[in-house]
Amino acid sequence: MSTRELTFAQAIREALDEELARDEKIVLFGEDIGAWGGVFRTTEGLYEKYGPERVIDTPLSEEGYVGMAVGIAMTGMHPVPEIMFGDFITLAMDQIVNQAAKMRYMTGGQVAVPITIRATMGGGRSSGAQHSQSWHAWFAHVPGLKVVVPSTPYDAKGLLKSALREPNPVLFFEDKVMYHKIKGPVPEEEYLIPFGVADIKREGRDVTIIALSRMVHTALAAAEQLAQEGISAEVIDPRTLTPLDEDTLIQSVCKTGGAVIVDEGYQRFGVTAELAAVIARGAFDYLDAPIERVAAMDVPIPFSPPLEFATIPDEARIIQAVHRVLEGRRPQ
Amino acid sequence: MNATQPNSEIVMPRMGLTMESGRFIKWLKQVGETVRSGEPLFEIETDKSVVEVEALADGILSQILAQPGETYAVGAVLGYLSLPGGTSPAQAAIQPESSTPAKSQAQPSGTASFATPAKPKASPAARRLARQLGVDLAQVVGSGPQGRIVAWNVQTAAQSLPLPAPASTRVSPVAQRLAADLGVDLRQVQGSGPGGSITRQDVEIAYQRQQAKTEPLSPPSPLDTEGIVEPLSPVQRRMAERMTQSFSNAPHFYLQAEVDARNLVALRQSLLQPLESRYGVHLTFTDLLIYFTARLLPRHPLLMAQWSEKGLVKFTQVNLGIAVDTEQGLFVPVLREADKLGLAEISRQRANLAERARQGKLLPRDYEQGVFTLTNLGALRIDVFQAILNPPQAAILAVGRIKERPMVENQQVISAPMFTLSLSADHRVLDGGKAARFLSELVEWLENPALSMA
Amino acid sequence: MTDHKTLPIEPTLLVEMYRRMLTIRFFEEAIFDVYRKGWMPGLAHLSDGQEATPVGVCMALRPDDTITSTHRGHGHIIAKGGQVEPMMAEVMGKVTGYCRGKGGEMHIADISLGILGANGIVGGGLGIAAGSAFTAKREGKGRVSVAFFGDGAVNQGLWYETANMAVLWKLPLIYVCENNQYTEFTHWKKLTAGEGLAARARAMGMPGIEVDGNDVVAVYQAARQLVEAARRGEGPATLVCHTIRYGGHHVGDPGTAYRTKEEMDEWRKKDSIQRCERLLVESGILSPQEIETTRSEIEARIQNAVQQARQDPFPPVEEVSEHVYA
Repeated sequence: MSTRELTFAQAIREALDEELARDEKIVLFGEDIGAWGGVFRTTEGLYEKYGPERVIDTPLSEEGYVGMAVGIAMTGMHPVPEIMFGDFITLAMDQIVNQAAKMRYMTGGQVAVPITIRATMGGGRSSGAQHSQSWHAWFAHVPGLKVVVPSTPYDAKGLLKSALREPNPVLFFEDKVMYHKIKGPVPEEEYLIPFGVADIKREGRDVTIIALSRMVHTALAAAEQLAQEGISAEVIDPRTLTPLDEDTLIQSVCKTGGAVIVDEGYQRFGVTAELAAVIARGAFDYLDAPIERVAAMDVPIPFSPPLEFATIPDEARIIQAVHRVLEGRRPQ
Repeated sequence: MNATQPNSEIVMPRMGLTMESGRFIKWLKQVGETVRSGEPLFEIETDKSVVEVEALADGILSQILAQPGETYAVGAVLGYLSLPGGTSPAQAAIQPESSTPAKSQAQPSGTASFATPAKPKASPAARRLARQLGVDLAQVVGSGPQGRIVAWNVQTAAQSLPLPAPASTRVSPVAQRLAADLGVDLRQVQGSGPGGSITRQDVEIAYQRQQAKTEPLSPPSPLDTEGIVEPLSPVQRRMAERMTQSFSNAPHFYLQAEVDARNLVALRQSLLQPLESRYGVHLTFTDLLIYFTARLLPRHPLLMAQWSEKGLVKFTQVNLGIAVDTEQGLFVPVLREADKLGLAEISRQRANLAERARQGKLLPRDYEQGVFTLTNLGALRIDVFQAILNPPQAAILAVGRIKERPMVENQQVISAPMFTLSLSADHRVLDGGKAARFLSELVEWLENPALSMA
Repeated sequence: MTDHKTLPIEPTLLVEMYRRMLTIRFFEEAIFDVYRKGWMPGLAHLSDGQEATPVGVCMALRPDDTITSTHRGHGHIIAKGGQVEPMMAEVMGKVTGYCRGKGGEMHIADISLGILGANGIVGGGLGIAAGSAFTAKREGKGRVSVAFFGDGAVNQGLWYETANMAVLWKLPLIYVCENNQYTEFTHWKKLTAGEGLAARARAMGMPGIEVDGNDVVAVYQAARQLVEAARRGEGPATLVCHTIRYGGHHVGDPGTAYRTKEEMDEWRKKDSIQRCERLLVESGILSPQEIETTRSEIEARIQNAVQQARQDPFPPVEEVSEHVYA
């Protein structure tokens, strides 16, 4: 199987392209996604290829076009509204949480809502408190939604294609920094990645590091450094929060005895809290140390670079957490 | 439960190191049927295969609880065997190692509340391993943060464990847990299970007795001039029997030697602070004595041997018993492989064992298989004393207090700290010469600690 | 006296409108009774008094046209062809209800009839209706989407966002505002600036028409006009129907604390069903006896529906986690 190197953004674009070609019911919505090609270039060229009927520039009306997308999904098409900065998703909350997520259930199964909402996440670009947040945890908390958080071009393409065939509402979170900074091999042949399957990005014996999105790369870098100290870290990427592959996470921690969970969302009541609870229960008798969480500091994300970087998980903080997990646990 | 018609618990046995539960297949006897010890009684399925489990005593299958197809944890009660006859006093369960009778009251207070056993801090993984490997967490030193016991500590401890105790001192796991929960000293418990093993009911009865002991046994009569008879507890009776047996059977002889403690005192002084700050332990003279005695014994292995009709039983593992004085009496917990422990570790273990002894939380494992005993009454102002041998050991070292005394050196009278060692020995195993050579070398080491490095 | 040959509307159509309005009226009265007897859980939001608007609009629609409804939606659902039996069962939370008891009084839906759901969020259906219009335009079969909402939703941002896109993309979307004068407990004029929704609609670039919401024929004619225009691809429009609800915001609120008796008496003189009855009798389409029979027949049907629904079973608990995902 032959592969080529694509950036994260290119992989996403390729998924959209292929699915637009495959299914005429798929329509993209978003601000500046058409003629401009998307502020992050993720829809570049698609407007030219598929025309204004399939790639639609919307007014600045997140609630409006996401709400419209719910109706479009309920009447037989598969809309893909984009939220340019994940922070703006708050404007569309009612349509996502009270309408999209619940329509099937409230109608007793009469209707399906195949809508794929693409939103961005992640800070680190001095974009300030209202343009840097990562809200995947919120939607994992809503019954009726599915939440996908890919970390590599390979994962992004396979998962997005699956989302575009999924008959349920999907929140698909894309990290902004990764768009052009992360490259990876992507097969030429068609492939899909199912939801609910975690990926072991690096095998190890001494500690389990669970990470999402861009933090997967930070965790892998930390694992490299830890290897110099003779510590073998296993890095696992859940890839989807709903559905969650609990078994892979639990099995790994049963093997290593210790877990460090890394996420760019805020720490309190966030993704790391849920994963820690899942592991505490599933791997209880095999835990040799308390579970560590490394997440964004519980402060609004600052603008000034040294301040901003102080709030986002980095290699050093992950390594410190691993050291805490391993303290006194190995024969000297 | 009727004490004169004891029932023996039939429990799910542990058939392998990692077995935690087994699936019950079927009973091979019916209720009311007579069962002989060693006869197959029921079948279970483990990971590996279907296994027949035999009865551990003669009796009648009186009650069955286990159902075919159900899974039960190791130690779970599957049914009862009623044993013929009443209690047999000769089948006392445990061999306490103390050389003086313990007081009859195990608990200092007579209140109905029982203390929650203080659990050592250990990770869930460590606890699981401890269960599986049969390691007592109270014996394990933790290397994790704040002294938390972690998995590899348990693994290490498991590797140095002696073989399980012989069947006559068996305590069922259920009984052990219950005793820990109720704060019952297992040495106060009369075992009624097969081979004198202690069952859950035994622990319950002991607990009831403990509670009942708050009331006087009989009101004193003002006209009573004959003294009040307090019936012996099983442990008291056993102690009396064993001491009598030891004293009458083992021909004791005694050697005494004075020790110039100047260098020892200086050594302790120099180590006191560093050990405190680096290891968090408070170094005592007993610790030092343990250190040197333990390292010397392998050079005089006969001091660790024991008399038996068939011949001398030789031991190489230096399990040193340390007499601990508590409110409840004299206990002798054992430091295992004491010759392999560093001074800090000795101090830590000794303090740990002494504390648990004072709290009445020693378990059989804590005082089994000692081969030599050290007893120090110096803190109680005793200058010298001859201890009775701790059966079946062949030697016991009694230590008196350190006191400034006049002595002659270079024909000068000077004052120096001194103390007296008194070694009691079993003349069936040791003669004067062998005992003397041990004692004199020990004195040399104590007077000149660096010699121990040679 | 108006001869039925000179009526601006087909007699059979008028009779059907009359029957549907009666059904709505009796259904709402039955719900009032059911609620007060404690035979249904939750809340009840009744629309008796407003019957002419949904009926007038829905009679201008095709079966494949879609509507979205509000929390006060029984009228829209019956007008679009919903059956009282599964509606009553749904209101009581029974498994035989339209939504198997999972939606309830505020969320009844029948997708096969083009009813895309009543909605508990004020204005919550506006996005869905706009989406349905989008798909309709894509399908190219002249299908139309109608969004019912009240005077309260007029000030929800979603109306303006979707209206903007509907005009921009010429979507076949008809906004029908049932102005029943009161947004919960406050008169609409105290909450809405300017001249009201029709004027705002015109400002957004679409026709904005106001009509007597209690005159079923007037509503029908106005709706027909706008619907046909939308079918032709002329884009969205807004119809504001002035009407009244006799009941309070929900059962339990008598609606008297904020409305005067005089005001309500005036409205009752303009009752939509009475007017329709008069028109039917005066035009000779139905005799008074036929009126009577019609009323009894519908009343009996609804009473049966109540009895049946009371006997129907609740959904089994095992179903609780079904229908979350497709």
